[in-house]
Amino acid sequence: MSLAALSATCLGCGCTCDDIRLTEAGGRVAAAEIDCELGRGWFGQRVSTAPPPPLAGAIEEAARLLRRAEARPLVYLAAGLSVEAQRVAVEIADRLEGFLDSITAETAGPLLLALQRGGGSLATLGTLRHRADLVVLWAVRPEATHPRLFSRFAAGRDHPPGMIAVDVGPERGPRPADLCVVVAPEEERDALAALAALARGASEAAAGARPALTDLGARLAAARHALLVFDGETSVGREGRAEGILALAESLNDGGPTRCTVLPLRGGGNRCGADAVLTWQTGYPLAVDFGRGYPTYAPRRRVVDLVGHGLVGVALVAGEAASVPPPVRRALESIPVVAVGPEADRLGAAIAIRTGYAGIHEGGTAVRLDGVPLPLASVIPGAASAVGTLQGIADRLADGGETP
Amino acid sequence: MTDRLRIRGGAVYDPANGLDGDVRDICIADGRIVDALPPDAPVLPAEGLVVMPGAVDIHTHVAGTACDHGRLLTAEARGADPAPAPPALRRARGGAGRSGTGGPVPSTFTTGYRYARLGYTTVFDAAVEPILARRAHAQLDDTPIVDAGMYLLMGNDDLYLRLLESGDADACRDYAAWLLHAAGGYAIKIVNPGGHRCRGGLDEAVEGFDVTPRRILESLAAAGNVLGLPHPIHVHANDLGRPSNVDTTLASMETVSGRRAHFAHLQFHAYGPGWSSAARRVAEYLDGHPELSADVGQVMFGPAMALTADGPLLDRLRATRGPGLRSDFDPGAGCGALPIRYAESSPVSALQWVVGLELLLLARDPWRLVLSTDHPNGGGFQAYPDLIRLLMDRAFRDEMLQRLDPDLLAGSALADGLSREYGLGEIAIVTRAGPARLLGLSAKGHLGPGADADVAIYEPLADRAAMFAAPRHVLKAGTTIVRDGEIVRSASGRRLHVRPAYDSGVLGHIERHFSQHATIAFRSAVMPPLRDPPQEA
Repeated sequence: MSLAALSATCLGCGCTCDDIRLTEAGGRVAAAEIDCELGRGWFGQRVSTAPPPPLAGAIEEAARLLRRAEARPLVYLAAGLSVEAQRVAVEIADRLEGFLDSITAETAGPLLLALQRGGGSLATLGTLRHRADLVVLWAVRPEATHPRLFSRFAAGRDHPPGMIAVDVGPERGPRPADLCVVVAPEEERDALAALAALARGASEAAAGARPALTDLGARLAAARHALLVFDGETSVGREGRAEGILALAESLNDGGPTRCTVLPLRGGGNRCGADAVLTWQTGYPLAVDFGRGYPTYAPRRRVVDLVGHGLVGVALVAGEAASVPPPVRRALESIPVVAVGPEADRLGAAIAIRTGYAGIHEGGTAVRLDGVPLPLASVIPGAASAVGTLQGIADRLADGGETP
Repeated sequence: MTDRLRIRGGAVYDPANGLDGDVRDICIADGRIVDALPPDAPVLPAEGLVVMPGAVDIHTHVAGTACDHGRLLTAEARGADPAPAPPALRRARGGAGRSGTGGPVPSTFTTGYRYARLGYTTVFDAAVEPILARRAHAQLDDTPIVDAGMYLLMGNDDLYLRLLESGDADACRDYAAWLLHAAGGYAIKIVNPGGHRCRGGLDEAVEGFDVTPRRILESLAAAGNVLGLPHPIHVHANDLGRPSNVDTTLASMETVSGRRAHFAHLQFHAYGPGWSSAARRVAEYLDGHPELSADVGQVMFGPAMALTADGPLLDRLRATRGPGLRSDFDPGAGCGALPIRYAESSPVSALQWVVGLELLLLARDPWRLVLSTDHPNGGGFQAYPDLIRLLMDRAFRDEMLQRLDPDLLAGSALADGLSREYGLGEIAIVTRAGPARLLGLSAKGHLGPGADADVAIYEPLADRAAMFAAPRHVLKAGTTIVRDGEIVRSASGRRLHVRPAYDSGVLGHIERHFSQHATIAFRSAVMPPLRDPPQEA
């Protein structure tokens, strides 16, 4: 194994760290050298023996099942696919004139809808690295979910940014922090609105702000570049939060010299890649229906309802079975499923084609939580690949072997 | 691939080879134009039709993160503009061909099909951050038919500014060359020299560095020319869209004059005091400097999308049009998208429409001022046929002019009765031969032996918009892609990129910069080799 092949990119969280070195023992990848428990665990669970290439018959059968179903097919993108595999999965949905969705809809759908509706100013990890002088962690503790967010991306700054923790009920910000602000869950929307009003120049009284919020508002107004960090993956049920934080950022950008950007923390497994691929191929980031022969958008329509209402007759689930949200997994139990991915056999699928893991067995591209594309390494070659399997299915979709 | 084909008896407009409607056969073998074919070769009859090389868009935005931002912001517009897969490609469910959506920023497959259906076979994305190049390449992989390349944003990042500040011109040049290698780019692009660090004019040092915007521009122009790039430098000058920006534009041209340089979307940079036209001054300067070229960046009335890496521009637009969707990519300018609309009733829109046409009608050398709408900034590429009609049909143009408020046109050359009408030969220059030459693409934009067999065949309709909106046939690398107005085949286009030689001594600077300042690893910045071979420098 060459040393270059031992450089890897981690899909454990949305940070998509591309500076990972893997160590080798006895001809096998043994461990990841990484100051991150989450990342070590991600590699540790996945560097097992790779599944062999699938039987040609399985791909044939999968294509036949998808094409011949009585009701319409659904293509569902789970986590753990490369951009290259995601592109082929969308192709399959398009050619089958089926439904298309990804796990994003179950977690970050409201965030994307808020961005579509009102726009926004998105930060990147470069913002954290170079520009932000004040970071507000709104009900989020990156040390648990994105452990290297600060240790890697804010390291070595001459002037470390100020840190403000906002606790919303049990969702706590990190400690220590330069300022801690506690907000009751039922007051969260009002608090964000009050901060936005302060940013637009309203008086404390007019904004209805408590002293703690006034202090936060003053620090935001005094910042050169304020960065608002929150959890982008739990926006279902917290629709007001994403919208309120985006609006606060724009109030600061409109109101004065402060520049403000937002960093919604996204999960791992290249789920941001799925959002990007769906957007460039169809124009929509999630909840696509090709039923009319072209993409239409039904962002409030959920996969569980489609299946529950009998609109879906067969599903192709691509990616890591374990990442499929439980409600979706339960819904899919009622219809035949073709599963393509690592541990595909754990979904109870009619046809399960096991592949290696993206970033370990399969190379390609992943998209970081801020949109930056990064290479995935194939450090243990020889396994069945998701992209190859999906392409095999796509190639067999047309009756009579029609060629493009 | 069609091995051989004779396009027989068309009126050929091939200005690079001196043909201006001459009736000729065009012979194709193995994807290229050849001198002659044996008499038994297959024939495509083109008697009574107009034959041109495939068109080349020198400045468009079809790949990259800002395009996806633009797509996200236009769900409603794309709902009204569905794009089923070409019927000939998908004869049944499960068949090939890809669907998509349109609107101001169409989805990728639709972009490729729609360009091809207009007779465009080569396009260049004008602004890709090197750090985002992998994503842009993946998008171009999903943009069928057209050959495509990208210009890489350079000159405003910390490493470049530090190398420039240290006076190491060789290192600046080598860094630019390395970026072209690493990210698979075709040309150096500078947006708004100095970027968000600009504090004033071209001669005021940018924030944090002892370097002026003028020096940035000068050094990149020198680098592109010394490297022998086919398209040395593509400049988005400072002060885009501001009154009185003509002074900055002419000063920027002066800065690089003597070297080959291309100025993008010139219309947006040709305003005098108080929103007046400065087209005459700019056209005269361009005429007098044969080493300079430009594309027009024409504004077309209707919906559009500001899609740019020009941070100050996005800041100015937000006051009236809201934040849009923006990402704060390094070096701080970022990229963003913001829906806009050019209304006939808006004084500024009307002025912009007028200035673009004035430039096109006043500039004397069509080889050096070529067509663009800066898609989707001035309007969509699908508006090219209407723009061609405005150039070819004075009566139509005057009719449009009369719909505008005469007060807005005071002092404009257009209102004074510019009577010039482009002929088909000139249209072939500004849409094909000119851009291909400016890009240094020796096998594009003409139909001489050895050229790529990219051909568009039109019916000579009196309504030039209708004529150019629906070519009868389009061939790409010898393969018939559009037959009788319908897409009958798709294919992957080639990736156009360059790999200029450079001194690897610069790698030490670059690797150190990555390890100390970047948010990605050095190895991530280097694309795997592209499938297609690079263009000759």
